[in-house]
Amino acid sequence: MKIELSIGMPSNPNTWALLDGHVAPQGIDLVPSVIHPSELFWRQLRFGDFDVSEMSFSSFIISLSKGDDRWVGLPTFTTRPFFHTGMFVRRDSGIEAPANLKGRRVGVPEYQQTAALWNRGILHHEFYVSPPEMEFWMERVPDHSHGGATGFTPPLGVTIHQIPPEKSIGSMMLSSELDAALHYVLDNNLVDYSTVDLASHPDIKPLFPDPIAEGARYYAKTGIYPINHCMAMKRSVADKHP
Amino acid sequence: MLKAFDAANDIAEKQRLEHVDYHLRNGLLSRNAAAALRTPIVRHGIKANRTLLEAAAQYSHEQGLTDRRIALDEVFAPSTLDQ
Repeated sequence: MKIELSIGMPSNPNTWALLDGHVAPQGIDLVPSVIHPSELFWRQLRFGDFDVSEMSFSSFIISLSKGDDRWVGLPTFTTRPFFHTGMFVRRDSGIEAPANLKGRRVGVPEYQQTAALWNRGILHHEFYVSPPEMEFWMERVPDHSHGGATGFTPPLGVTIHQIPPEKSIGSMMLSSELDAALHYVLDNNLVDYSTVDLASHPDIKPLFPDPIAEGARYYAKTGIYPINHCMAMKRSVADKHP
Repeated sequence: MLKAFDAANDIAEKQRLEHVDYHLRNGLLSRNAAAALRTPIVRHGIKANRTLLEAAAQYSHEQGLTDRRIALDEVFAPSTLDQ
């Protein structure tokens, strides 16, 4: 007899065959829901809505480190950009290289999200700018964030301000209240609410003038092609059906 | 479950090539582009991704988000650890 499992995940060419039923896991009837990842991880961490879901790798290991053993990971990695090549700066900020980010006001959707984890790690290891040397402004509010669901507090030495509800990373980049965006999420969902298309705005430019070249340089040097999410299954389900 | 994701991935790889088949055959894409399109990008499993997963766990600890460096065998199901 097959077991029925609900699964929440974003739609992606690498998962289409699972979503449309072309491929089915052995012995399992999957009941899929397509949900934006930012929103999905918040729902899952906070409410545990699904038997299986895609999950932020960063938020997953944070919750594990705090003793939350609700989830068992599956090593599937369907989204993989070179996140750091997507950082934006204001053209008039004087930031011409990553080292210039020291002492600057930097927007981040959520401090603990995986993309932000990679970008801080890469700024630190490749460009010698460590997190305490920047001033972070976070967009997501505790009620609707992964950090809110996992008991986030700013790490020692790191300054994180909350972006007020009437503003966003996008609006603060345009008003010069921010100099840079560590990561930027533009597609609408329940937890991210920037609406400005920074990529095509005349006042904004990418931190790396040639993002593709920087991605290739980083990969050639480190062999790392970052992942964003894995899958996580409820431990209660995994224990019952190993 | 992991097998199903691998199968879905294989289908995506195959479909990508099927979608561009006419372009490839008509010479509309350069030989470099053809080779690039045949390169599998998404690889599941721990073996293929160990270095970067350990880097992410290291960054998380260095940045004070986790109080220790989380080991991969704490994260992933025992049945997937050798895959």
